[in-house]
Formats: sequence, C-alpha cells, structure tokens
Amino acid sequence: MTDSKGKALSNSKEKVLSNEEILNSLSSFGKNMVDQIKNEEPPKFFVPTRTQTNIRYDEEKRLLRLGEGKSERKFINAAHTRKFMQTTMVASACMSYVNAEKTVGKRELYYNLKHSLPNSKENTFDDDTESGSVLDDLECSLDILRSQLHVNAKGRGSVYGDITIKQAGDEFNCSGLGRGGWLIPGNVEDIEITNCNADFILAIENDAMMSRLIEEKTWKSLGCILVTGEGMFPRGVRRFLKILYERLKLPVITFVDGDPYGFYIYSVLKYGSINLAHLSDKYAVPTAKYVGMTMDDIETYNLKNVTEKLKDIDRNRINEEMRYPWFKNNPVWLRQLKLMAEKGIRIEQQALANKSLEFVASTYLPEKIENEMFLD
Amino acid sequence: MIDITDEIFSEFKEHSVAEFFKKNKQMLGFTGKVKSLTTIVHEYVTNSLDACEEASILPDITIKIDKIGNEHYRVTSRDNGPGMPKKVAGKALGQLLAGTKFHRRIQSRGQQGIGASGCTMFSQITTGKSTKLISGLENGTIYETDVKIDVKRNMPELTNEKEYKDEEIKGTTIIAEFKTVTYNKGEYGPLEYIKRTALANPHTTIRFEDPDGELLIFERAVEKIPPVPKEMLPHPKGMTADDILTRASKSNAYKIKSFLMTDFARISSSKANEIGTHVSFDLNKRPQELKWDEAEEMVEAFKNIKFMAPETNFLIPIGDNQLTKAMQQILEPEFLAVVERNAQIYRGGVPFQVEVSLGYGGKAGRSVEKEETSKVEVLRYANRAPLLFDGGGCVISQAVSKVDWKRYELRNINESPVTIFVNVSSAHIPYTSAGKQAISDEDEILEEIRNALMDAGRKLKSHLSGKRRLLEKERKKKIFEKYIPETAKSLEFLTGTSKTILEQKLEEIVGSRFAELAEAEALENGNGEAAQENEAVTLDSESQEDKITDENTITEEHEKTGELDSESQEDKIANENTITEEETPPAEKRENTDETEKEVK
Repeated sequence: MTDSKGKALSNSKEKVLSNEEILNSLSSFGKNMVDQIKNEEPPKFFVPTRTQTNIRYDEEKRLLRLGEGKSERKFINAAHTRKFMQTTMVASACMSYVNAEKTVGKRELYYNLKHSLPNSKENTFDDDTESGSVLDDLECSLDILRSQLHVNAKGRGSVYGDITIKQAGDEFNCSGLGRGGWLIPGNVEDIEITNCNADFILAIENDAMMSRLIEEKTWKSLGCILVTGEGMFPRGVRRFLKILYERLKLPVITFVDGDPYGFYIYSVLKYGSINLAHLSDKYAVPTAKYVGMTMDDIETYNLKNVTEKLKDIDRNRINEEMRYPWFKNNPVWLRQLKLMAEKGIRIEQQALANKSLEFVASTYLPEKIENEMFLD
Repeated sequence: MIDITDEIFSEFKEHSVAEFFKKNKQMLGFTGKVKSLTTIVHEYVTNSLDACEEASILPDITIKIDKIGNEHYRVTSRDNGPGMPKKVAGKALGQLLAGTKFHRRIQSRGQQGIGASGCTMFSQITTGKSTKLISGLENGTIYETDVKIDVKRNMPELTNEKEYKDEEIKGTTIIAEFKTVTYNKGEYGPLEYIKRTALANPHTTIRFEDPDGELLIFERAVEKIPPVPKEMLPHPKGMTADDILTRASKSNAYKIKSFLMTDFARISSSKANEIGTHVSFDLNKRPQELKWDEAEEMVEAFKNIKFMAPETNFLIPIGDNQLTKAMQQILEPEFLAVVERNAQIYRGGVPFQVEVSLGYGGKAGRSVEKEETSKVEVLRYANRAPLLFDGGGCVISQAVSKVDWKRYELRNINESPVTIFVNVSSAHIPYTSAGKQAISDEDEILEEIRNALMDAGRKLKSHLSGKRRLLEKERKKKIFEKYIPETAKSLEFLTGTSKTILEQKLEEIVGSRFAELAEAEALENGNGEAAQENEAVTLDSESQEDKITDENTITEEHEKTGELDSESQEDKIANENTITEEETPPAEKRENTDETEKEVK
C-alpha cells in the first residue's frame, strides 16, 4: 500500500459533488452556448477526444490518461448538428433528474428522451447507444461521473465474503446473502463499509468460477473477498473495487482466463480503459496483480489437453495488445502474449476442473498466492 | 443530293414536269393525309414569308382551315406582302419549276419553285377545282383570278380574271380546296408547323384558325425585318459539269474567261489564267460553245486549284437576340441557351451556318398525354422553315443523337423537358428529297451541329449543376433548422433563457451562414466549378475532424444517414458521368468533393 493518494483518501469518503454543484455545472454548460447564440455566433462546445489517438500511458502513475486533444461540436456542421441537439437534451434531462432526485437507467434515459422531431419522421434518438455516447461526452466534458448525473450504469457482477456494507439504509454482510452474494449496482458512490475481515480481494472473470470458489469456501480459507464482473468488468464493479482498495487498502488480485480478453480485463482494472481514460483516476487500481491463468500454468499444471485453439479474431486481438504501451514495454507481458501466439492456444479458468473440481481452491490458488507467483 | 430535282428536270423537261410530278406527288411532300395538309400550309406560309421579306414588310400571315366534308378541306392563306402582279401570278401558282429562285444562289425558304404550284396541282387532281388568287398590289389595284395547271404543257390556265381598285386589300390571298387530306393537332399537323415557324421567325405574326373555329395567334417578338438575302455567285468548288453548262448557256460574256470571272465567286483574272493552264481548250471562245467534256475538264481543274473560301456574309441567320426572344415568348423555359456558330463550308464550296437553341423546363419539351413529364422535342429548320417529317434521316436528328447528353447533367435526354432548336442556313440546303423535309448527312454540317449542341449543353450543365447545388444547400439548411426547436427547448431548461428568443437567434445564425455561402459562390460566379470546390474544401476540413472524434460512433452515424448516403452515391455517379474532356477538374479535388458529400451528410 504505497499509493500516496490512496493513503490521503483513506478513512474518508471520496469527496462527492453536491447536487447543487452538479446543477451549476450543467447550467453553465448551457449558459456558455446561450451566450454564443446571443452574440450571434454559431454555438459550439468542446469534448475531450476519446479515441486511442488521444490516449497516453502515464508511466509514472501507471494509468491511462486522456491527452490534450479536444474536438469541437458545432451546431453549424451538418455532421454535428444532431449530436449537438442530443447533448443539450441529455444535459437538460440530467438536470431534471438531479432536481427531482431520481436516478434513471441508461435505457430509461433513452426512452425518456426519444420522440420524433417536429415536422419530421426523424427521431431524437434512434437507440440507446446514441444517448449513451452523448452521455459519455457530457460526463467527460463536465468531468462529472454519470452516476452523479443520476444516470446509472447497468448493475452486473457480485461480491461475496466477510464484508459488511451499508447502502440506502440497509446494512448487510456479503457472506450472509445466500449462495450468490450481493449484486453490485451501477451506482456504488453512496456505500459505507462498516466491517471487513479479509486480506485481499480476488477479482474473478467468470461467474461460474465465482460460484465454485463460494462453494469451496475459498473466501474463508484464503481470507479474501470474491468479486466477479461476469466478463468485462462493468463500471459499478470497477468503481466498487476502487472504493474497497482505497478505503480498506486491500490488494487486488486478478484471476481471469489466459487469453487476450482476460489480459485486457486485467489491464482495464489496473490501468483504466481506453473508453473511460478520463476517469482512470476513479476506476483504476494500479497495484492490481495477476495470478492466472498464465501460459506457464499450462506446463506447470499439465493442462495441455484442455487448451483451446486460437481463432483469427484472437490472434488479431493479441497483435493489437502487443502494441499497447503498457504491454509492449513490459517484458513479462510481452512474453505471455508471444507464447500464446506461438503456441496458438489459450487456457480458460475452468480448465482447472480437469484436475478436480476442488483443485482450484485447494491447490492452484493457495499455492500461487502464498508464493506470490504473480504477474505484474 | 442537290441534284435530284436537277436530274429530274434535265431528264423530263422535253415532256411535262407537271405530268411527272402528278404521278410522283410524294416527291413534293403529298404523302399521307395529315402530311399533305401540313405541306400545303408550309408552301403557302413559306411563299408569304419570302415575299414579305423581299419587300421589307414585317409579315402578318393568316392561315385558315375549314372542313368541308370527309377528308375535304379548304385552306385560306393571307399575307400583307406586296401581292402578286398579273404577269407572275400564273407562273407562281400554275407552272412547276418556274419560280424566281431556282437558278439564283440566294438563301430563301422556297428554293426550287415547286411549292405553291404543287398545291394548285394537288387541289386540281383531288377536287378538280381551281385555286383562287386575290392579289392586292402596292398601287391599290386588286387582281383576282382562278388558276389551274395545264398538266400536259406545264402551263398555267387563268380563268375569271378581274382587276379593280381597292385600297383596303393588300397582300396575297390564296384559297384552295383539297381532298384526301386530314387535319389533326399532332406532331405532324399544321398547328405544330405554324408554332415552329413562329419560333424561327420572331419578326412574324401568324394567326391560325383551325377547323373547329379556334383562333391561335403567335405574336411577333421582334420588330426587325431580317435583311434581304443577297444573291451570291457560286464558288467553283462543288460545281458540276451540268451547273457550269447551264450557267454558261445563259451568260452574256463574250469569252469563257470573262464568264468565269463574272459568274463565279473567287475567280480573279490570274485564277482564270491558272484554270486555262489546266484545260485543253481555249478560254477565249464563247461560253455558249462550251461542251460537256470541256465542262468536265473544268470541274477537274476547279478541284486541283486553290481558291479563297467563299464569302459567308450572304447568310442570314435568325440571330441570337431574335431567337432568344422567340424561344422565351413561346416556350417560357426555365433555362435557355442560344448558340450562333460562325459560317462554315461544306462540300468544298457551299457556305452554311448553324444556330442552336436549347430550352429547358417551362413549356419546353413535348408533353405526352396522361404523363406528367415532358419528353425531348427536336425542332429542325432549314433557312427558318420547319422540317416536320423524315426526322430519322435528317442530319439534325443524327447530330442530336451523337451528343452524349449525360455529360451535361441530362441523364436521359429522351425523358427530359428539353426543346432543341436547330436552324441550318444556306443558299443551298442539301435536302434528302424534293419534299424538303430532311437535310442529308454532310460530314461538315453534322460536325458543326454537334459542336453547337455541345456548346449549348455546356451552358445547360452549368445551369443545372447550379440548380442542384442550390437544392443541396436548401437541404442542408433544412437539416440545421430541423434541430433548432429541441436544442432551444433544452437550452431554455438548462439556463432559463426564453426558447422563442433562442429559436429565432439560431434561425438567424443558420440563415446568415447560408447567405455567406451564397455570397462566396456569387463571387466565384462565372466559374461554378471553383465555387463548388471552395465550399467542399471548407466543409472538408470540418469533416476531417469528425472522422477523428467520431471514430467510436461512426457506425451509428452511418446507419442513421443511410438514406442520405445513397443520394450522394447517385451524385457521385452523376459526377463521374459529367466529368469528361476539358471540364475535368483535377482528380484529387474530385475525390475530395465526393468524400465531403458523404461525410457531411
């Protein structure tokens, strides 16, 4: 736990913007455009560019950062006008949600704003990816989290272990909620952690693996909190991990498939994602470690007969990842990617069941974690 | 082809020309019931126009057609010309090939002197009746007579001759009856003929009363009488042995050398001497003594000697102004191009001149019953006289079909509201037949008409592409306007500023932005292409940005604009088609433009 920022924030909730501040921010976003219009200037606003060209890897902090690149959204540009309108619509909708203290889902937002334009068959929004992308723009240009704009990310993923959480007036221990644990909601900004007995957090890709580890009571035997994102970790889960990491100073250990997608889940967890690079500070856990699956596990645990062959799409992804600076400049990871490409195989978490159902809990994880056989 | 009638003439003159034409009346245009009636109207109108112009009178012509019975009509033709004196009346109406024009090298509508007499004969052989002439002369004398043709002798038969004074009646009135003819309002009928005549003769007022008693007036559009065509000497190139012998027999010169110098254009004393060195006979003998073999030698000599090109200022085209006014008055087109080309020469020695006018939109084009769209209409003229028949074999039709109209933004010329007007002026139009309904395909004439049409096409193109750009701009403007209300409403909610004010301001901003674009284009005017590129470049830099910013959303962007995209695909195709030859902008820029179109949409 050497992260200085983490220490500074410890024991205190991260400062959450008040509703008033959010409303001010939205209204000054509008006012900026109204001023331009009143001056008879074609209105425009700036959005930080959120494409790979504008992403850089911060070596020192080991985070993905958004570059200085900004793009204009002009009302008088036939390619922008629709999006311009949509952005003002989403901004005013968020303002009304904050005012009414209601929180909507991403799809609710879409249906809330969808209608046809006056004298036209065209719709304001044609699908929720349109409203979603505008919301990303807004979040990014106002530097306010979408959950603070009262739009929730979809809840997915769960947590299991001896940790007691308070949210919306309820308090519960995550080892006492039946077989599944607590379903992590899209918005976790308001959680309080009242008690925790664990030495680390195990972030698991696959929910079936999560069930296996719950059944084997691994959380107890290893003294950890189990968290799964059911595939690519959604925002809620990532934010939850970050909060746990910051408040409890627990190390995060990643346990994912030994394939390019598993590697990327780990890298998103650790460095932030390309899509949300502007929010890396709020999502990334730079000290996260990687326990498996690795290419070396195949030899070590004699798993050759349960590997899967790489498809073309997998190979393309490998090549892409080899160009990411955080992999490219890290010999450990470059080796893993090269090995995978050379052997032409990948290994899933659940392949460990080939040894025995209990193997993962009784042998694989304890052995690797106790001996700190991590990739970093 | 000049010489069909000449050949006929030389072969049959010992017998009766009239008899020959009686048996071959189709040669004079009397085939088909509708066509015959149109031919009659044509002959009378043509004669009237020529007579008025020679007397420097602005023509007022009235044609009236009455139905008397089944396929039986009476045609009355009246003009305000100088009238027909007694001594020419018989020849003009009762003797074939006796016109004053046949041996003159002069640009006039009637050329061979068959016309009005042909009508007299046609009337006579279908009804047995004579043709009535009422002629009001300059001096106030009225001369009336009934005319028939003595077919065996090709001589006029005048009966009921009267002479009296009446200052009121001026000009020539001809009344004749015809059977086996039909009136209709179609493409080949008299009405269409008169409309076309009015187009090519804007100095003329024509009244037309059809068999139903309906009166149509084509008012004159200009008050200027075309200059009287001057007689011109033939150019040696293009002469035949027969031409030379005919002229020689009538020459007053004492020697062949002086005959050459006085009867032909561009033969100077030294040229005549040069001709002397090419022939085996003495140029000092009398022209009347010239023999066929010697005339052939002379033709050969003419071929081998260089002469100055013939003078072309004898030709009298309709003129840009006059044609423009006539087309505007009658077609009210949305766009009009008029092209007058310089005189050229065909067959080595015959001058001719081409005028083309192209009307688009308005009443241009041939309207088709039960269809909303108009089709292309080709109006063919020779010396301002409309050619209604035999379009397929005419050099004008060939020239029209040899132009690649797609280059000029007319994707399908046949289905476009276009009227193409072509007038060929020449002292000697190479008709395909004595019916004078089609011009034969002389290479030089074909090429000249084609060039003139392409000239007009280029003008049309810049009009149409300007129009297209305007529409495009309107469409873009509408895109912006469409998004104003929602934007204003949202901004009102965010800031409390009145929606109405915001809407109004945004509309102003959009409006002035497009006014700027229009202004920029006006500055570039005269070079439409450049203006277009200019616009493209500005928009392009914007859309480059989009490309970068919107990478993650690009798919949806395309989805929602799918419809518009297909439009720009069309544009692309149109561009590709229209870009050819001299107008090709640099390939690079072209691609940019296309790219932009797609991006912007």
